[in-house]
Amino acid sequence: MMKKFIHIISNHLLMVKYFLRFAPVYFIVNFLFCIYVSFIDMLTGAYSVKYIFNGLSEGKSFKELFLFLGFVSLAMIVRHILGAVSAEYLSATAWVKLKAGMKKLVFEQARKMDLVYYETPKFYTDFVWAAAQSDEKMGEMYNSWCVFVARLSDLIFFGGFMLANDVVLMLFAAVMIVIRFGLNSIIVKLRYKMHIEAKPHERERDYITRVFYLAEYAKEIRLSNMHKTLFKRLKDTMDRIWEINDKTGKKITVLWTVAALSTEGFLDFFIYLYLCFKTLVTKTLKFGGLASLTGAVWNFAYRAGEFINVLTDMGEQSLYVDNFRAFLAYKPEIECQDGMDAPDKPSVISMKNVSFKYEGTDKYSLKNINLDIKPYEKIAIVGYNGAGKSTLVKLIMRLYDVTEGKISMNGINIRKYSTDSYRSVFGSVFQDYKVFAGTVAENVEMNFINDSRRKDIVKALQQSGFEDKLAKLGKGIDTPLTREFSEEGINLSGGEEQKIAIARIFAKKCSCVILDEPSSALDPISEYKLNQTMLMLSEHKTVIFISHRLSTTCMADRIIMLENGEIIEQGTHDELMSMNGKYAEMFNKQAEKYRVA
Amino acid sequence: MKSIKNNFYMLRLIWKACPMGVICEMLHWLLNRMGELFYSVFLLRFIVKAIENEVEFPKVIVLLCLLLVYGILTGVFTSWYWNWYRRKVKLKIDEMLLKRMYEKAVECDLSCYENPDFYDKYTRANSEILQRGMKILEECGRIFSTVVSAVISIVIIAVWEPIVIPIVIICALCSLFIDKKRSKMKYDCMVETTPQTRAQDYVKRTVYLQDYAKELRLGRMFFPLLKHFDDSVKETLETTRHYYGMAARLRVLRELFMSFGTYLVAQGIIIFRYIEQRAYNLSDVVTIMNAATVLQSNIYSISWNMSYFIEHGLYVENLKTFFEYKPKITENENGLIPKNTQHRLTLKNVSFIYEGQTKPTLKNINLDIPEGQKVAFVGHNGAGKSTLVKLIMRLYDVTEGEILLDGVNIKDYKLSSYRHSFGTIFQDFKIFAADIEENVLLHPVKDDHDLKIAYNAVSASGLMDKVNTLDRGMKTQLTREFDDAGTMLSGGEFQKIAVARVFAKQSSIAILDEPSSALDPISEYEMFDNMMKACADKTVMFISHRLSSAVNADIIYLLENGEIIEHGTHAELMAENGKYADMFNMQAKQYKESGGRE
Repeated sequence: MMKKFIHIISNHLLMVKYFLRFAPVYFIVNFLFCIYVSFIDMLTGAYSVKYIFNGLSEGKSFKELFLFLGFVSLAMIVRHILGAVSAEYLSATAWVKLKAGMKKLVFEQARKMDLVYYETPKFYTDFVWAAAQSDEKMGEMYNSWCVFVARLSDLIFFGGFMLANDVVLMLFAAVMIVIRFGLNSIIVKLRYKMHIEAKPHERERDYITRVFYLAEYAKEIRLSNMHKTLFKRLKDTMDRIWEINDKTGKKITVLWTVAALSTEGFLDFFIYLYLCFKTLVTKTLKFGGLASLTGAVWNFAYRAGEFINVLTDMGEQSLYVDNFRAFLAYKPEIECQDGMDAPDKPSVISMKNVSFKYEGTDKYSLKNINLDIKPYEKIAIVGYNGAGKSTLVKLIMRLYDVTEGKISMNGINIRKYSTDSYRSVFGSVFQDYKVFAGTVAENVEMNFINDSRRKDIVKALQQSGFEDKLAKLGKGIDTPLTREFSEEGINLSGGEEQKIAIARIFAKKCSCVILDEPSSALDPISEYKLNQTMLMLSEHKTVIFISHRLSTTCMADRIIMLENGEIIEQGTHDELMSMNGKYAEMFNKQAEKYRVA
Repeated sequence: MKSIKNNFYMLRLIWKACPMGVICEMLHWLLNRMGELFYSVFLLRFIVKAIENEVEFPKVIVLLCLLLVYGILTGVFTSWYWNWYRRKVKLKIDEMLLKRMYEKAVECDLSCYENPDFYDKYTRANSEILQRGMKILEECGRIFSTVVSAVISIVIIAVWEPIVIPIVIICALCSLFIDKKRSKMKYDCMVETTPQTRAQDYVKRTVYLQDYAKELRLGRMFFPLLKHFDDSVKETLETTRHYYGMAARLRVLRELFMSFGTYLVAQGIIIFRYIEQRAYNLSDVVTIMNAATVLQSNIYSISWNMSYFIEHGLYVENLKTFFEYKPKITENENGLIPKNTQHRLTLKNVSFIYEGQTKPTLKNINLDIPEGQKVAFVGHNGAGKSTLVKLIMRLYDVTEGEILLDGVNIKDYKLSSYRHSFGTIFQDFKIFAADIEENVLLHPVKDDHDLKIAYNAVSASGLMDKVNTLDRGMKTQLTREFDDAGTMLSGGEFQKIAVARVFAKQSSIAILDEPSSALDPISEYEMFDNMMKACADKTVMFISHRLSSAVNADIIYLLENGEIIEHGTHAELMAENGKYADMFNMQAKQYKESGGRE
């Protein structure tokens, strides 16, 4: 228990540390403000009520009372000036700084995460995605701290006021707090259970919303009656959500009624009865005391309840911090590792008994792969969808580490090279390449632009066939792409984006080129041209490419055919054709129609 | 003013869906506010009277008992409403809004999805639809009850001390006015920083989303992006400082009105009149002063609620635009229903320009497709092939010219019946999170006849072997949307489901828009084979980049820059030795050179 408590506190202190790093002034000023506000609440809500009403009934002079009012309103103005500075001005600017600061902290760390973490859903949601929420979570936690400070000082101020006036009332307040807290903790559990039960149905509802919202479903929805099916599904889902709400809602209603009747109903009644009795019958309490104490009891009990709730919240928030801590403590195994510099000339890449399976799966994606890639060799990898082709090239580029076996370059295990230097050996285009918001030049260089590189970038764009489009761009290679950063940004068509992606390889002084189906979206002529240029320019480089179009693969020095994660055939096109195996079958199926003509 | 109108628009919708909910919500907040008035104004007045010996103690007890009854009744009502009935109200509102939204989404033209302004509004309307309805109802309830309570307090004050009223009202109006200015500042700040926020979100996305992960690791693009991030934060900070600095000053000004006007001056007058002029009894002073306190807190609440009200108004504006959008392509209820089982499709001088563009995507297209013909459309990326297909299915209306089905303009047909004549597979076809039967039929299963159709379609598409290995057969749920253990099929198998849709629809015209691009060679081959067999007597139009599939078509159209530049059978076009022949030879070269079995 104690240990858990200390753990929660240390988690919150960790976040406080970050908060102080990014917004120290706001942190201090706002807490002072919170304390001052609860003082003012007590002053206006309790003390001044007592003072004025007693003063009126005792016949104090107008001047005296007016002075007091003046003092109170001055205190109120100070509160509001503090409020304007802290809650309005400081808070707005502090949050900008704080959010940006937290984001950057997390960016730096996320960048170093190994790719595996992005591709196994469980890790991704627990780790990467959780970290992405850090700035929002920080907001939630900060609110909790504020509530904590404010309610704690409320308890001190209002409690003090009550103690000074009538100790018996503390008893009433205590009963009220116990009832509220007891029932409330059951209600919170019930609500949580309901929330969990309703979740799968809400997921279904959100899915339906997405189908109607996303543009990619729009055509099919219009051309079929699928929307009727989905409407029916929605109705069913909503009915089921109601069933869950109905069941738990009834239980909560009963508990809540008990809580409301015992506190707002009877307890309230007895408080008034007690105070009236003291005022009217025993005459031990003045009217001002009565008027101020009824409010004070309520304020005390209500704020005590909030104080207890915020403690529960803080316990929950601490769980998030555990994840966040783990995220910050993460040491990448692949990214940003130091080591030797990789050779700049094309060198032998060899894979020995390489097997690989994705985290959390039992099935091997690649089994026992043995492959030597000689410098300047042109290798084609073919196979059915899902045969393991993309995984193979990702292993070569060390986006993953092998599960078994080893990959070496120039006879040295690739883990011995520094990751940055090793990857600079490769130029690659993937099927799902992305164009970033940035200038054309930045997108080709994938880095800041050095003036000495501008010529090379233009040349690379010419080689990838982007020349014509480039001539039409007002700002040339400094034209921003996409509208994310700038209204003047331009959006390119799919084919044009692809040319940018391909220009990356030409601009990079790499010794090995890897192409993962870059031409699948291209029309025949563009594809043909691309292949020609690619081969011509890569004469002095090693090339590894994946393609479904076997007409492309026959130009390769060697073709590797993968099936179910294993190499089943390899050799030149002619060798494989004469072998008359699976490759030949695939090739003939594709070629059949062309040969007829 | 507009925001009030918008809020009422939403309230009207809610009223129609669930009038009881609106009544209960109003009642709930009203009871809440009235309790405050009862205790602080009437009860205290009564007690003071008792002190002044005007009322007996037992009478006070009776009043307390009455209040107890009131407390019990409100307690029961609040528990019932807040914990049980209100959930039902929320679900009813959700269902109404979602249904309206979906129906509109189905109805609105496809071009809406391509219009960034419209889609942006739709996105905003969509993103908060499940929260806003209830929030607006709540805000209305709060404002309604606060206004009622304020009016009562004003009446109470006016009975004894009318002079306070104008002071309080002037101060209240000033503070409301200043507050409105303040909200405007904040809103302006938000609008001005939107581009920055968007840029920051974008950088965040590139770091977190899997799509970008590979490339960020293989290059150094992270650093230029980070620089953009830093710049945008700096700019946001400056803008925020500027606007919030002004807002803070306005807030101080407002508080001067509230503290001096409604607190110091109002209470001062009341005390002065009591002490110096003996204008009323102690019980009256207590009543007025407490009423003034209630009124002051009401004014705060109203100005607080107003800022939310304005925010909701902006949201509803988006929703309204979407709900009230009048689609151009509408279901023509009185339209004709295509009768024949086979159709002749004719395009006359058809041109088409996408909204917001000046260059036509299609120019002067003339086509005549008789019953049962197999047509291939080929051409470069962006030549207009997909647009042509969309025009034929009336996802867009032509800009010029006309499209005829059996000699009748397609605009004269009933839209749903017309579209029913087509079975389509798009390049980016989608699999729904539903069972295999529903995914094939694309409508709810009504009877055994439907089941039979689905079964036959799946058999014809070559997926039956796979279905037989699944535990629940045709009832297997696809995708992992709802269930992490849901069945995922491979890309090729999903494609077969899409093919099965065309079979199941039993339409007379089949349209295939590059259905095979993601398939490996063998699957592609089989898919075309199946397709041609199953559609022997139907009209088939297909778009393909792989010219091998065009060889067997009855007629091939080659599009370039939105125009048909060549057409004819494969043999004719090859003989013509034009662009088609060029393209074909380029693709065939490698296949021909490297020998095969022949």
